[in-house]
Amino acid sequence: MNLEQLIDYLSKDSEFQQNIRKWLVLDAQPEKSLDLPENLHSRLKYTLNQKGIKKLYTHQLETYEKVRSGKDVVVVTPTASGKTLSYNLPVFEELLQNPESRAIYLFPTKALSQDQLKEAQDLVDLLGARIKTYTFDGDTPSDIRRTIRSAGHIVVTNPDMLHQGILPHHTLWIKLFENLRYIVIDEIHSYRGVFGSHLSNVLRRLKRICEFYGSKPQYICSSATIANPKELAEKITDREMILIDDNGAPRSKKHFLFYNPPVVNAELGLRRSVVNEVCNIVKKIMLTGAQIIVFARSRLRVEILLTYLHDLAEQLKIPKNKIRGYRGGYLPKERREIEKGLKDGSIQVVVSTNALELGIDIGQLDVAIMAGYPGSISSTWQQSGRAGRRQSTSLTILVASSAPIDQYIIEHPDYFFDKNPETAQIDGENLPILMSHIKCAAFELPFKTNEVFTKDVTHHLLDFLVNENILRKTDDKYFWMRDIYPADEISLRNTGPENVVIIDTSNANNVIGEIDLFSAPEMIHDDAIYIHSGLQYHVDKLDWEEKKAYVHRVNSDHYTDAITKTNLKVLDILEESDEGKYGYNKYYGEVAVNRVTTGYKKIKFHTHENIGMGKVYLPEQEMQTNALWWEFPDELFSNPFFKESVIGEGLNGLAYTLRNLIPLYIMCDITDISLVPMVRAPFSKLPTIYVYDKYQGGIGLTKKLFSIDRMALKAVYDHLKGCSCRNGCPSCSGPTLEAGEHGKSGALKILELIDLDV
Amino acid sequence: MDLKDKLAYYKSKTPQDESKPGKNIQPSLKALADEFHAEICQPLAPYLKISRTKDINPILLPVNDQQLNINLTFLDRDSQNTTFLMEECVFFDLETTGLMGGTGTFAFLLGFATIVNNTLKIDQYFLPDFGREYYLFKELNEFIPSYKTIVSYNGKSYDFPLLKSRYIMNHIEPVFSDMIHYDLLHFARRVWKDALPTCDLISIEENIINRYRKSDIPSWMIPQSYFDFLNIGTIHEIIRIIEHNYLDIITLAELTLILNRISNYPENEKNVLVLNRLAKLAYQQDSIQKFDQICASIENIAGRISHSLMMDKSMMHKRKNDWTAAAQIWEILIESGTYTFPALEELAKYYEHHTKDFIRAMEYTSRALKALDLLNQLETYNMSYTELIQRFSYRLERLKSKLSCL
Repeated sequence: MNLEQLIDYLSKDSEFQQNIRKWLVLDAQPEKSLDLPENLHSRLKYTLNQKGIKKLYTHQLETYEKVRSGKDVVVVTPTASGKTLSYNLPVFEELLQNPESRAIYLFPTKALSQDQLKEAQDLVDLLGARIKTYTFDGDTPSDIRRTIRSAGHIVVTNPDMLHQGILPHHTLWIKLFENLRYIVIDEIHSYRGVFGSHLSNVLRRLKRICEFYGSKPQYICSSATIANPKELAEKITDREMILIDDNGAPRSKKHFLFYNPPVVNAELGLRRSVVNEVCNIVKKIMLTGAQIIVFARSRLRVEILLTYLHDLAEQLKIPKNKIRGYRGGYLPKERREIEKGLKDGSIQVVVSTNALELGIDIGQLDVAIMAGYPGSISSTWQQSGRAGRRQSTSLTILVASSAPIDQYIIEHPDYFFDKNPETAQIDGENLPILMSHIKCAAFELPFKTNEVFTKDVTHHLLDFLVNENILRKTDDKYFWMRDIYPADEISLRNTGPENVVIIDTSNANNVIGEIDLFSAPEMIHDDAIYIHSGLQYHVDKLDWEEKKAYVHRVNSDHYTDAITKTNLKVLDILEESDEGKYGYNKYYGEVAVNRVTTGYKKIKFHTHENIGMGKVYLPEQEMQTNALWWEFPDELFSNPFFKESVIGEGLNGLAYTLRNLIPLYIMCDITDISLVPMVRAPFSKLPTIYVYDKYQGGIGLTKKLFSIDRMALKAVYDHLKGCSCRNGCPSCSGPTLEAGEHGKSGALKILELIDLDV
Repeated sequence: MDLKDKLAYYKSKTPQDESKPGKNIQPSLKALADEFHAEICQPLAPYLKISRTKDINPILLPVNDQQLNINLTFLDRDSQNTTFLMEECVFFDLETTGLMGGTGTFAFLLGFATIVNNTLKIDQYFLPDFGREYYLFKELNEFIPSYKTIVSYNGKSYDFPLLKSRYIMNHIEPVFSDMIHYDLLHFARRVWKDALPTCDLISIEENIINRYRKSDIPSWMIPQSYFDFLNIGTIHEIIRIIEHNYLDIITLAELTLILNRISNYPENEKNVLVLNRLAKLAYQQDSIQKFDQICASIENIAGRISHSLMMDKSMMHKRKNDWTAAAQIWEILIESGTYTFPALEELAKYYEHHTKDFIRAMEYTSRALKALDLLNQLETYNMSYTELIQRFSYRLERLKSKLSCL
């Protein structure tokens, strides 16, 4: 059965049809292309012709022209639109004309850089040019490192390696820094939040070093489709960017199915579980022989799905190894084997996290199934692009979970036609992050007194470090004065330097993972069930002093859910907006958040019954961060409907929904932000909802929300209004058992009062 | 107002030129200079130059060699020709603000030594603050290349790259970067790895040169001591660091002479553990005469040489075609129970290929297989047995077919 037949078959399957909320057919789009540029280097022209490339897509041509005329660009490219060639073309031409020139290619993950390296190498081979392309990462052997430093034309690496391995040793890389012409930042949309805030600082350091060696490289960035690629690229690179978003690549016909599992309990708004539904769908499709990729949101989900699918394979008498999992934490060798198996067809189903969403070459698959909304529209597109990469019809099925955002998306498929509203946010001025990188920068090169690392505050920070005896100011310069290597203490992927390591006592005390300090109390408190690689571990002891958690393997019928209490104190109001005409006030400022995990619930797998509780005694964690809050004056609640308890339930319902919908506007995980509704806020004694960035110093999420809050509140209103449940459900204002009878109606009434132009 | 008055007024209103010589000389630096009778160079960016001389311990000097020809070829890893004149060497060692490497590590004390007429001339440069390297590096760029050879201890992987990095940070070309550089750490390891718990300079000084330092500063204290000097001007620890560096360089020069002696007359060593390693070196270099001499020394001290050396010795006999001598050793080794399988294999080869006594060759082969079979039952997973069994079985089969052809 080919794909067309499969689609036809599905469209006639009435059981399947019942659950399809929308069946979109996105028509094929013709390509927009132009002849190879006249002045393109003759060898490149020849090689492209040999490869059968006689024309360039419009966006490739524009990138080439803008870059060669000295501009910094960000090019927006959907999957399979010839992104790599967009940046390889100008870079290779430069290297052909000037063999001394150098370029850095930055990829967010190691796996991705391996693949792109291969592609660049193929082009080099065809060109027959003496262009040396190397990956430089943690796995690079030391003898090859020496060669790369002096002879590598293109150094393919990741931000972590640039930060820890290259910049602090810049004197070993003179050739690179003296001749650096281009910096390619691939997948720039993945540098958001903490990672992006770090990267912007790493690039500030890179800029200083380039200045020291007298080079001024240009940036070529690529991004998936998001709302603010230009703004993001400009924030990260601190350069004015030219946005190239007129994509000229052809698009094949795409069937996009929005699948909502059937309601099993209308009162509670409960639907059949995503995992079960996905298994059913896979079962239907697998018999046709189609190759399927299933995307799950977490590593845990991957493992659960895999277990279920293996059971299914057993029923269907299909060898288990035709169904494989793929996610971070698997060994590179294992990954390569799976990638190969997908290409040669020996693997039929792969269940993956977003690890396979990015450009890793796994060839063409037939069907992409998303077990739950991937969390962002751009991810959805990228995952969908995994099916039918070549110019044929493809099929994508998005299976919604009961999560509010899934339900919102499934009811509003227009997002997949309209302009993507998601913005990626970073905050390069986040104090802990900035401070870390100023230290690294001072280690790399002494600061001059008039030097600007970041506007306005550079010298305050430097003087602070002088007072702390970390820097020494002498002869109008700030010198590093410590016997440590500061880059070692900073991980670009989180804010805190300290982690708790997890030790498996049932397996020779192997370290199986790490968890950051702020999350540790809820994840690995004593007696928690910690799930890793699909295996369950019981936490025997969390040694807080030593930052070690001792666990052993178990087979438990339940998992644990931590109970965490939060206190919040406003430290400073930075922005204040009188929304009086709408009936409320909003603020943006600095807050101190104290969190303490006091206990946990034991939840049974499958049925989700609560089967017991336990207490946890762990120190309180404090965090200073940025927050947005809305204050609702008492007059608003003059209607007798608003009893104190109703206000509380309404605020809870509003906060619950909003928390889940924020990722529609600001790219983040819902765990990156926290909402705290309070009927009587200690600060103002007024009904208030606080939203804060869950990172020390804040990373710009709530700052963005401050400027688009009415749009987000409107979405909350629409979603609550549109949900078919009566008094609220897990898919809108939260389960009624927890949120109360008035979660939904209270939230709706409050939103009606503040005039959202509804 | 005429111009003169105007200028006078201008002068009174303009801050005085602050770059007067001496302004940057902190009292602590003066105190250090007094302590060592040292010279303060470059008053605009001052640093200290401490110059001293020290006669080389005459015991270490070779007889009849006024020129101090050094030949470390025997101790070189690849037996490359390693000969140089002491007087053409510059010995060097740095003290730094940390061991972590990277461009944020600063070398604040640079010690050098050269030799004139059997006397060491030691020049140490102390940088009393960051950012004072420029003129010193210019000076060193004249001084170092006037010698042929650089000698250091662990300098190839640590001191030298660090110094190079500091040069680049000051935009100065390190003109000496292509000079011949001998890192004695590697030579010392080849000699003392088994005889000393560690091969650091202090350990060699105490155990080989028999000199003990009084109140030597431990390495881990060095960075903080320098920071303390910068912050509050304490010089006590700096004095200890300068002495530490001074002694390191002297030891480095003396070590060169000691290694030269060992390289030229390895058989004169007295420590069996050292002699064992030297014998191994001779074996690797296929230097039979040296090997025999060293083995003789070992026999003199310990009564006999180790089985490992016996095996080596047998192989050297074999290479010389002295089969009887080799076979004799193999028989002894089999009796002793060490090197059983290599010895059995060699004997089997000897009888199979050399004397064509296939029956005897088979005897040795079967003996090996029998023993291996037993061992294999005890340790089923030991791959090395499996491999040996394959080899001997293969030989046995071949011998059988050879016998049947007769």
